[in-house]
Amino acid sequence: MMETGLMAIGAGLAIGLAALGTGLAQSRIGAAGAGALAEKPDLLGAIILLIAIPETVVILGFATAAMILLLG
Amino acid sequence: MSREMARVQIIGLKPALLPVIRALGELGCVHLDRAADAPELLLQPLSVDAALIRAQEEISRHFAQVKGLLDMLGIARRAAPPAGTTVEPLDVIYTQIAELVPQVRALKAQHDALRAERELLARFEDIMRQLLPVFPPMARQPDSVSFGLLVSRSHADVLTLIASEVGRITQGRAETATAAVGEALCAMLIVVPRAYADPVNALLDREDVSRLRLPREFSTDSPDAAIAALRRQLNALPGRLAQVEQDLAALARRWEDRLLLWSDRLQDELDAYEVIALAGETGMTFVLLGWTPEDEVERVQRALYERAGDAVEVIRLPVTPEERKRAPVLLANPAPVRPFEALVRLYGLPGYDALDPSRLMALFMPIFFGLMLGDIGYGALLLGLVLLVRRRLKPGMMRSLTTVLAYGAVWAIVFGVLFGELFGRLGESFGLHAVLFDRTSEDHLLDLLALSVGVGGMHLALGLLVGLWEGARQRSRHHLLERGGRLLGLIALFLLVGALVEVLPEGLITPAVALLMIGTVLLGASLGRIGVLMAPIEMIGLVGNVLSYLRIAAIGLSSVYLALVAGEIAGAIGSVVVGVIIATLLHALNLVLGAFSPTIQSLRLHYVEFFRNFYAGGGRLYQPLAFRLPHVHEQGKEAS
Repeated sequence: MMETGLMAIGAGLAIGLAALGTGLAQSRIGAAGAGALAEKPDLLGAIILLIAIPETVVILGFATAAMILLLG
Repeated sequence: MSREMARVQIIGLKPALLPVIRALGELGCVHLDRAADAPELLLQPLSVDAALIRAQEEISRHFAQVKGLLDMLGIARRAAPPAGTTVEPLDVIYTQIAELVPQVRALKAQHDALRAERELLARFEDIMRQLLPVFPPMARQPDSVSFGLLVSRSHADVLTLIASEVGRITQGRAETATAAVGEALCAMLIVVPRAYADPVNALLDREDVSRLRLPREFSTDSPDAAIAALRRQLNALPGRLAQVEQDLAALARRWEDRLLLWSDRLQDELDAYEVIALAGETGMTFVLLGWTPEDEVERVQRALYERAGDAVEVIRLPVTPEERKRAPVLLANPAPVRPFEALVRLYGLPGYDALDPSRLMALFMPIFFGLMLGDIGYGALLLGLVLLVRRRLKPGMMRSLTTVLAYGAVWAIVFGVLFGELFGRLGESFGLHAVLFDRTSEDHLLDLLALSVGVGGMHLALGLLVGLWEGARQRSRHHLLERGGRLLGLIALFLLVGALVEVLPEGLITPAVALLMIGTVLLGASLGRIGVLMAPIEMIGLVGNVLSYLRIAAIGLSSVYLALVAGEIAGAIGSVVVGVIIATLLHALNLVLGAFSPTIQSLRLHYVEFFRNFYAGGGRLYQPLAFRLPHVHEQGKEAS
C-alpha cells in the first residue's frame, strides 16, 4: 500500500515538476513572442514553433510518470 | 505542388508603358520584379518625369478623399461589382469628388457639433440640477455675479481654501454653495456682488481650477431660467441630430456604389503607377521583367499585343538554376488540400523547387487530431459547429482553419468508434464497445502509449524518406548523410526497443546496435568536425523526437478523463436537472479544449518533428499585379 502511494507521488512529481519547468519556459517565450508579433505578424509560425519546443519536457515527464506507474 | 513558372521580359516603346501595365493589371497573372536588379540585362531604373509624379500625387490625393468619404458616410466594403459595370473617366471622378467632399464635410461637422453640444448641455444640466437646491439667494439678484468651479472629490479641500480667500477679497460679502456631482466630482458656486467680480475672477484664474462656464446664451439668465433653457435646447437636439443623420444616410445611399467603385478604380490606378518604379529603360524603350505561370504566357502575349500592337514585345527568357531558386511560388493543390496551404505558409512558403508538404499535412494532421480527440459525440458536435460557422466565413485563414477542424472532427468520430467513446463512457449505455481498445482502461495504457510512439515513428520515418528523396533530387551530400543517418538511427531504435521488450527476436539486438553506430557515423560525417561530439547528441535528440509523439496519448487521456469526470459528476448529483447542467457545462469546456489543444499539438508535431526532416521553407510568394476591377470598363471606352 505504502509502495503504491510513493509511486503515485513519484509519478505526480515527475509530471508536475516537468510541467512547471515547461510553463516557466513558455511564459518567457510567449511574452517575448507576443512582443515580436506586435512588430511583425509574419512571425506567427515561428513563434508557435518556439513556444511549442519546451513542451517536450512535460511530455518526457509524462513518459517518466507512465513508466513509474506501469513498470513499478 | 507549385505551378511551373515562366520568366517573361516585356519590352515596349515608352508611351505604351501605362497601357501595358494596365493590361497586366487586368490580366492579373504577372508577378513583376525590379528589372534593374537583373544583372544580365544591364538596365537603368526608368526615370520618371514630373508630369507622371504629379498625376500619381493627384490619384493618391483623390484616393485618400474617397477613403475619407467612405469613412464619414459609414460605407463598408462589399463584393466586387458585377461584370458590365462601367466607371467614369478619372477627370469626371475628380470633379464629382470635389463636389461631394464639401457637402459631406459640412454635414459631418454639423453632426459632430450637435453631438458635442448634446453631451455638453446634458452635463451642464446635471450639474445645475445638483446645485439648484443649494443655490444662494443672492444668485438670483441682478447686481451679483456667479462663478462655478468643478474639482475631483479627492481635491475637495481646495474649494474650502478658495471660499475663504474669496471671503477675504469680498470682505465677507460672498456666498458659496457646494454639491457633489456624480461619484467623482464636486462643484461649488460662488456668488459675489458685481463690484468684486474682477478680483475674484483674477483669483480663480490664478488658482488654475476647472471653471464651470455655461454657454453664453444661458449665462445671463437666472439659474432656473438657465435650466429651463438647457432642457428646451436638449429636447430639440435629437430632432436636429436625426435630420442631419438622415441627410448623411441619404447621401450614403446615393453615392455608395459610385464611391466603392471609385475607391477600387483609384487603388488600381495607384498600383499601376507603383509598378512604374519596377521598370527599367533603354534610350527609347521600357523593360518589365516578371514571372507568370507557364500556361498563361500565351494569354499574356495575346493581351499585350492587342493592347499595344507593335509597340510591345513579350519574350520568354531562359531560366538558370539560380533564377529558378528565386522564382515566386504559387501553390497548386486540389481543393481538399488547399486549407492546409495556409498552415504551411504559417511556417514558411516552400521554395520553388522544394516539395510542398501541404498534401502530407492534409493526410496526417486530421489523423493526429482524431487520435487525440477520439470521441464520437465530440467529433459529431464539432463537425456540426464548424460546418455551421464555415458557411458564414469569407475565404481566408479562419475558413481554412474551420475546414481543417472539420477533417479532424471526422477522424475523431472514426477513432471514437475504434476506442468506443461517446461523451466518455456514455456510449456503454447504448451498447457501444471499443473496437481497438478502451483508452480509459488501465490495462490498455501501454497499448495507447505504444500506438502514439508507433504512429510517431512512422511519421518521422516518412519525413526522413521524403528528406532523402529531396536530398537526392538536390544532389546534396550533406542532406543525404544527415537524413540517412537519422533514418538508420530511428530504425535501430525501434528494433532495439522491440527486442528488449521481447516483441522482436533477441537476435536483432546486435544488428540494431550496428545500425545505430552506422547511423551515428553518417550523421557525424554530415556535421563535419563537430560531428564527433554532436552526432551522439543528435541521436539522443531523435529519441526526444519520437517520445514527443506521446503527446497524442497525453492529450487524448486528458480529454477522455474530463469527459468521464463530467459523466460521473452528473451521476453523483441527486438532482437530474443540476446534474445535466453541470455535465453539459463540463462537456462544453472539454469540446472547446478538444478543438483547440489537438490542433496546436498536431501543428507542433508537424512543424517541429516532421518538417525538420525535409523542409526548409524560404519561398517567395507569387504576387501578381492584379486589379480589383479587371472587368469594369471606363465609360466612353470600348471594353477590351
